[in-house]
Amino acid sequence: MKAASVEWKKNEWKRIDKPKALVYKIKEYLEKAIKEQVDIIVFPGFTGCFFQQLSCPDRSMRNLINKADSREYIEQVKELSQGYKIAICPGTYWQKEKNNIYNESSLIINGEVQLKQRQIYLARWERELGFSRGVKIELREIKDWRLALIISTDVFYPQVSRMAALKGAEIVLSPVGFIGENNRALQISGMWQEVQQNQFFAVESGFNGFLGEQSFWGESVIYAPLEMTEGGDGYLERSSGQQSLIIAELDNKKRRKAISKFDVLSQLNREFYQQMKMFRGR
Amino acid sequence: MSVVNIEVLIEKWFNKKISLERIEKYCQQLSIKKRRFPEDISQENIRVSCVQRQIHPVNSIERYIDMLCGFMNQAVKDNSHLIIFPENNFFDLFGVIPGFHCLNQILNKKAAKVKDKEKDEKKEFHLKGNNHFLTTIFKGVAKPIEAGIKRIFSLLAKEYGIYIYTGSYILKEKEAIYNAGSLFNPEGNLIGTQKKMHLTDFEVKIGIKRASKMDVYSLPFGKVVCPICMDATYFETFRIAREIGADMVILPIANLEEYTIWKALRGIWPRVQESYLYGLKSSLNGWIVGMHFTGKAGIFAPLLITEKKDGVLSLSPSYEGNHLITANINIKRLYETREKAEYQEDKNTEFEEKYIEKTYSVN
Repeated sequence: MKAASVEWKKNEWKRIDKPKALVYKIKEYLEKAIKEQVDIIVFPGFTGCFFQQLSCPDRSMRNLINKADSREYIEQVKELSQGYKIAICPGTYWQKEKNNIYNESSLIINGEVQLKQRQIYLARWERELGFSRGVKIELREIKDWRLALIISTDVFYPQVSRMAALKGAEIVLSPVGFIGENNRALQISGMWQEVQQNQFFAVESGFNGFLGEQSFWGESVIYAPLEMTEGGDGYLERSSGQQSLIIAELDNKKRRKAISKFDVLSQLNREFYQQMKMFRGR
Repeated sequence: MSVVNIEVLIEKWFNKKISLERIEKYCQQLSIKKRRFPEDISQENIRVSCVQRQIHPVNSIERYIDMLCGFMNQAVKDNSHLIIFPENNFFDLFGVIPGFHCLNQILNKKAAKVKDKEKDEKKEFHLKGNNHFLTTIFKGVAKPIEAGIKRIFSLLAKEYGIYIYTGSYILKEKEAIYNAGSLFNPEGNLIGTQKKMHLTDFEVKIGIKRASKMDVYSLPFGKVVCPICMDATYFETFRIAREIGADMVILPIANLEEYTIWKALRGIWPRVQESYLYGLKSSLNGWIVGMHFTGKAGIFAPLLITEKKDGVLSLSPSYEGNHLITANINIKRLYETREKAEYQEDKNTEFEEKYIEKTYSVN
């Protein structure tokens, strides 16, 4: 399985001034990925929100949320996906349902949404803006690989990754975007360490644009267990802010061999975990 | 000679070499300048020291006590309230076994040679050869070492007027052996003993059992838990620590692997970030019976309350050798930071409902 992750710099996001321009840019990167025979591509977190922002004259964050409507963006990506043999994670978008607004992502293949995932935990800024939380995590099998989507803030909640791993996730797609000071340590404390404690692959795509007055950052990285990465650092590929498309071959045989050297999940202590009050049945 | 007989012989030998009388007599001779535990301690000015030390087999219990006192003296000089010793803090005592030094040197040299040639196969080569031998030794030394360590640290805690985590030792209960460590207060009283809950492959192979319960201990300046090494590879340990009210996690380690920063990052550092607790890591390093241990002592906190925003309050400069690292911690500030956390501290009751049953297939 060949996976790719996209990262556009702040000035590139600034140059995108119309929804059509964003769709064109997505198309451009799909073509680049196809040339490299990529099977699955992840676009940055909040790409769908950015799309909506482009058609919204009043660009304050609260206004954007109030008018959240992801349908047009999803339709555009669905249409694009029909022209390319590639699984597309279009980043995240705000999805309204009844009076609730969710940060959501999906996996789109050949014109169809094959998997949807809502963000389960909220950042402080999302809580303050009144977002709602997803309540489940589901997997989808693509080409004999089990895939899960773990979105943005959820990378900091290990219970989400653990549940996905124990459901059998082999690849996690992770569109993200962080607010505040750019801090590499924060990103390591997210998906990097989830990969190490669950030993799946992860394809993370960072948003370096802006929504309303809020600026975001995030590096795009493809992770694997330490034991199977060349530098022993858990990175198969990373943009380092220099590359707009990173690609890596995900080799499940190598992953299993790495797990045999350091098998974290085999030593889970289920009896001990019953001490976790927070997670006991209510 | 049967295995049981060897075990009994070892136990008798260790009872003789590290007798409580001998320990008490030597500690009296040391004439340590008695220090009172500072009364002005509050949640905002706690000073903790973590020991990083190299294994150095000793031929007598007195030399072992001398080594410990070196770290104690430094911690007291640094005005620490709590000192933490590393995992397997008893390995040096194997030196009292007749002929051990010679055997140790041979095995270490052999392993070092293999290490240079075939890194991956080195570990298997030695563990396969030594499993049974090590189990017998561990069972034999467990009772005398536990008694000896507890007496030594009780006396040192009282004399130095400081809280001490003993580092871990082998605890034998009935016929089962555990990796466990104890906490003593400045009056020299035992506060509690915590067994390890997640084992390494090596520990499983030599028959160590795991525990399934973690206790929290209330100290005048905050609450602590004392999991051991691999326990920090699992977020669940720190989730439970937080739920049972811990402010600090004491974590002794001794990593049976070559050091890299990335391997080290799989442990306590990310756990501290996700759980918003202080992490206090002590470490044992060096060679013994052909095994190579590495690791840095470190004191960690959530990114937001560290100067460089990197989650590190203090870190040993090297993964080998002897170091004592000390830092100030502030529980009040930790609580305030939890209130401000951007990416942690959210709850989702619907997702979390029956999480254990849904995730771990436990009914």
